[in-house]
Amino acid sequence: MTETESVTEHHMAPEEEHEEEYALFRQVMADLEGDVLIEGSYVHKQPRRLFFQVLPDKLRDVVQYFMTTHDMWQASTLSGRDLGDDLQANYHFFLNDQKIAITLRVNVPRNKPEYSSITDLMPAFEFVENELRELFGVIPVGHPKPRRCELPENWPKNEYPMRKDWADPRGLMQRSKTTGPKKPEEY
Amino acid sequence: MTESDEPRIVIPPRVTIPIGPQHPALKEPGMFKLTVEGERIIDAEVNIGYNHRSIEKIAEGRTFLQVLYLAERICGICSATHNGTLAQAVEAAAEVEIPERAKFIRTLTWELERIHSHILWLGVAFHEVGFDTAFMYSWRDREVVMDLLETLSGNRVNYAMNTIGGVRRDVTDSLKETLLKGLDKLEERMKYYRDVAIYEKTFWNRVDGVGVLPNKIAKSHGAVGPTGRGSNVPTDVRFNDPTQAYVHLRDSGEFEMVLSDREDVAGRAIVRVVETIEAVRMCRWLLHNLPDGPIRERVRPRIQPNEVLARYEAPRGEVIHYLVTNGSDKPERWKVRAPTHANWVSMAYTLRGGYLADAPIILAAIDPCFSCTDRVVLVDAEDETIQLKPLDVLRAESNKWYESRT
Amino acid sequence: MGFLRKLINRARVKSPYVFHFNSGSCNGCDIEIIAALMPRLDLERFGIKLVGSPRHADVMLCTGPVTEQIKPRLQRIYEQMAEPKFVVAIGSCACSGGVFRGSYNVLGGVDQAIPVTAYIPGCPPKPSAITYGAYKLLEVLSEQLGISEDVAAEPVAEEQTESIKEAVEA
Repeated sequence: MTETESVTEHHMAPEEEHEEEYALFRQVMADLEGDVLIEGSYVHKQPRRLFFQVLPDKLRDVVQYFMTTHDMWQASTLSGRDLGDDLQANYHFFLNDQKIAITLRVNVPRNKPEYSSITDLMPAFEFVENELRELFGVIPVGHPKPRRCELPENWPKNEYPMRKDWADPRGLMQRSKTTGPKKPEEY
Repeated sequence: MTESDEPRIVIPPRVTIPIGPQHPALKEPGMFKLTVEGERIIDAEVNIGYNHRSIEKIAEGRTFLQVLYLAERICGICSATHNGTLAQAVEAAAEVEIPERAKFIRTLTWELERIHSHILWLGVAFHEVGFDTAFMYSWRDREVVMDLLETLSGNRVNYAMNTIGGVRRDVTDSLKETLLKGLDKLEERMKYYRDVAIYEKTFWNRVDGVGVLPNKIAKSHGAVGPTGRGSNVPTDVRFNDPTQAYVHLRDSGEFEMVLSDREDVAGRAIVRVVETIEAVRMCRWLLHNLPDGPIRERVRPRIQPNEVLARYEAPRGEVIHYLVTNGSDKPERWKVRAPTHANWVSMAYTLRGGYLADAPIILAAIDPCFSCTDRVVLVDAEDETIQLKPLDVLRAESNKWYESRT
Repeated sequence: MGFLRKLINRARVKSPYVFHFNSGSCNGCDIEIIAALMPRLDLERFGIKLVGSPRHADVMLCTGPVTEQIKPRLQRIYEQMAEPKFVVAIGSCACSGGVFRGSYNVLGGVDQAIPVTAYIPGCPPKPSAITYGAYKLLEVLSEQLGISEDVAAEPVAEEQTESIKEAVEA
């Protein structure tokens, strides 16, 4: 994905009708100067949605900041994304006091997709981080229990099906499209 | 000194019992490894992934309208949930405001689905505690709401009510009468089941004090839906982050979040039963206040680049759809988080320390939906209060102890 | 055919034990199967009884497309059933893979893993359709097993008859 496209994806909200979101956004940006990048962090047009672009090695600090300062306990999920040169991990949380959903995301380079896991801070991420490792090949370093998660046991090691460049070398996605009913003697 | 002077500690052997992938107590394939000492469960491990159908990958090759029907088939019980939440996400990405009447009808389908799902759960719960009469009764009355859904949408399970930009079928005046009549019947029956659940000892004695999930643990383990609300955790997207007609429902002030501070399976059951009655009232409110107007808005098939996070309170808890669009008619990335996924961790906590005989009802208490989840949870057995030692370590230690005595 | 065998066959048709297995379904078909067994339609009036173990079952009801992970388990459970055994694929996914065709983890219909006797299409089939399918299966079985029924047997597809014959002989 090119630079221009990733900019147009972010729809900034107007200041009016989003006062609460902007107040929280400004406070976080002031408190976490240096950990959170200005580019990629914004208040979304959809009501009650904030996005923060976090430096990969600062993710743990930022999560701890939210847990202590803003009483963040509801961990929603983690979604991976393939941006071309980079792979992205999006951590979704919900702040129940302010009633605002926040997304913390880290970009990791494709040739070395590693960042430190936050499963020990929030146990709810244990299996979604496993899933991210399996489907995208992004490795949360320090994960307490790396193990097989969704894919079948005989899946090869270096194939990550959710990456955009996964070429389907064994024709799996065509297989189920072409099969017809089997005759009894074929079993 | 004889040996009998010293206190003897008998530790029953640890046995691991695998349950699944096929088991009468499970309606769907999943594997549970329960480690027990005598009758006590000390460790629970959940192994899913039998249902992984790679829906997120297929979706990247299909158009939004096609994905809408794929989303419906993530789960048959909450089909309107995923269908409507995706439609909502795409509309938010396209920045389209759908007509008010469409919002009301969409919410109506959601609430009717909540009624059917909760009655289904109630029946399963009655069955798990061995109260099969009430199981049959509640499933008979579930047919009432299934008929309402069938008259409303044309199908019993996969309703396909939502489309991008509105809904596909209108509510006529005669249909409204039918729905209101059916809702009256349902409310009467649900009040009966509420009394059955609370005053009937066959049910109550099996759920009272079973599977305790303290409020603090429910928060830290991220319990959602009736599981969380049964432990007094105020998580309900309908009131915390309302969309569609829930904004009007919340503003009307007639409805409020159902919470229970009992923290056990009984609390979760009460939350569900009372919520069903609330859902009946919500449906009636929606039908009485149904605005006039068109039911759908035209939306261009190509959606501008955007990223949205759509949330909705499914019968089982919070559903999240994270959708990234790239200007084409196909999604760039679509991620679904189903509520059961968030409840596994807290469920494993409630299993620990309970009796093996209570495991089915504790499992059923979160209303697990494997097809929504199709993921794996691994929960560790490190229980801080009990010092656990594997048998071989124990044997080695006892050998050492005997050696030191001789 | 001895007397005992005749008696057993008659019992088998009069009261088949069914067993439900979910091979990756979305739950839609599963709740409709249970709805078919519930008071309104009451499949049990045809003598059909739901059991929990494959060892007790004559008929296996399969729902959902077969995923890579479940395939060996499905085959193992099929092997555990006693002969003669029949498989009914319920729902579009179980018949052909349905909406999940094109997924890297889905093999297609149930017939990609085990032989199937009857197919009940629909997404999901209504409880009445499931009841009709079960009734049809009983009809075919009674014809194959040489038991005269008072119901008029309708003509059955050639392939289906073949597979049933084989399954009965096996």
